[in-house]
Amino acid sequence: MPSLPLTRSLVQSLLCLAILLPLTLLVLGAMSTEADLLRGNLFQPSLSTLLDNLNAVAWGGKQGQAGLLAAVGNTAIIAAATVIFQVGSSVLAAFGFAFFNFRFKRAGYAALIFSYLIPPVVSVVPLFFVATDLGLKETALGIALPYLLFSPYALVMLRGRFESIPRQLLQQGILDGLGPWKTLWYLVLPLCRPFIAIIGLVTFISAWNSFLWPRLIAGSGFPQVTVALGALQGQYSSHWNLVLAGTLIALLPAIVAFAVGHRQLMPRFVQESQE
Amino acid sequence: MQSRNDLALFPKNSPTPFLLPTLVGAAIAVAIPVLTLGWLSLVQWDLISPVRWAGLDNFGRVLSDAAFLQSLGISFYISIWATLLQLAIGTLAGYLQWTKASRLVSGIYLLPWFAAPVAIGVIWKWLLTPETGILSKLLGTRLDILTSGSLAPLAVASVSAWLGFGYTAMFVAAGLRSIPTDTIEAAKLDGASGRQIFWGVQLPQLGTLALFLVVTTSLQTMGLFDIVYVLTGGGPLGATDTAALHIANSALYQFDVGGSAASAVAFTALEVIVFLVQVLVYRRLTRRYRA
Repeated sequence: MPSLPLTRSLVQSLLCLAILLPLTLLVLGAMSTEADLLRGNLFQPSLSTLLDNLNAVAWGGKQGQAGLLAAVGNTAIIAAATVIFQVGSSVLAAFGFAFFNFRFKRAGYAALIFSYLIPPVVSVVPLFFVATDLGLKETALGIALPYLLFSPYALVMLRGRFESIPRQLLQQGILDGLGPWKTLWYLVLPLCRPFIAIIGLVTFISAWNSFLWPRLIAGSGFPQVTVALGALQGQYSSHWNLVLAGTLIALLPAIVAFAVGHRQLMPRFVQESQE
Repeated sequence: MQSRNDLALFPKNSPTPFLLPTLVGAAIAVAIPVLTLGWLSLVQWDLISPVRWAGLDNFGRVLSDAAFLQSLGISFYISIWATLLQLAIGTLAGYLQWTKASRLVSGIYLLPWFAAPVAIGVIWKWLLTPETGILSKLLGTRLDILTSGSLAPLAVASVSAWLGFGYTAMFVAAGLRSIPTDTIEAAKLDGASGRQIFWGVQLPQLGTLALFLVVTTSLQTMGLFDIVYVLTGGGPLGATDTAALHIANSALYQFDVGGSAASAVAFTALEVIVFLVQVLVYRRLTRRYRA
């Protein structure tokens, strides 16, 4: 392991460069015209070209494919609903597993967590046939429903965080006459608010980023950003300026997460989840 | 985690209302698809003609199907490279973050992890594609990476590691920070170098975290779909046709639903075996450390 400060800075700079270089090229590419990209000229980026490119992918095309702008709205709705229900359901279950005793607790918890071993594609294909049978194809409900109430990731993280709350604090509350619901509402939630906010952020982003399920179920009925981007890439394989502008749109939440997240949220999150 | 749990805080109240939403969610997300999958794996169905009982025929068929077995091998190969790369780079980056943390740097590392894998696939496709790809244009020479049967799987694995190493680094840095400093001080007093301390003192203490990272990273890269779908689409000539792509395509484009379901069961079994082997190896290793 390198210990010299110089080596350390050098390696860190190289790693940052490895991340930032492709992303910089992406931004330059989205600000270039198609002709420039075909000539390999990335170095005349302009804001007005970027706006032209965004404009070209924002509104629906002639062949009836969805514009990315509509997809952004649709995806935000699905992701927001997923955050509310998934985090809500996981907070309740984490509270149940942290502070109650019941039969089959360990086995039940293990079964919930080990469902993570099932590869996504394995459950998505049968779900597709079930959802199609129920008439949920190309509907918002069809996109959101399968994963609306269950997140093993949020469950594990929240349970760990809840169990790190000093017991005496909660016992004091119980002595003062708080039942489980009031303990959750007046003690546990206020104490864990920043942690839950991060779980919410991560949930939003993973819902926004998901592709496999929406690609099967969303279709053009309720277009999603990642699906629209995949289609854009397939359709305009030579119009890279447009595809790259679409990619920028798909990266919006990631950029927001970076802007708000890197300063305090993530370090604190990891620290708290380790406890 | 378990021991202090044994004392319930609310012995008089029922936990059912708290657990119910997640149980319903798990029924929808896990139980329904798993049961449906089990049934589909035992029938023959092409989406049009009526469903016919097939017994175990599908399993016999897919387990002797060269294309499916090859896709398992490809997933395995990509997963090993992607996991090794991500853990090696992530551990190095995390170690450097531990010695001197910078939030900006770890934020930059995490950027691709926040991004949609589909978008990451598009970016790298634009960079690497031979004809219209920007690196080919900038370098003035045709880059034959995505068109090469031997390089394309490695490109997929590298992009996957590029996307994920910041996540590994974040956990490694936090894990190193949680190790009591007195053990490190003691090793320093004994004259150990930074390198010796890392391999001899810190890494063994990261035990559970290391297992967690190996398991989650290898599971995730075994099931890789989005990046491959965009970057190579399974090509060239099936060189990156991962099990996930194969399963989805055989059900939805070749209309062999029973075969796809049987493949999915076999693929899940392989993942469970990989997981169990990792846990066994971990147990063996930690036992040796304790002895």
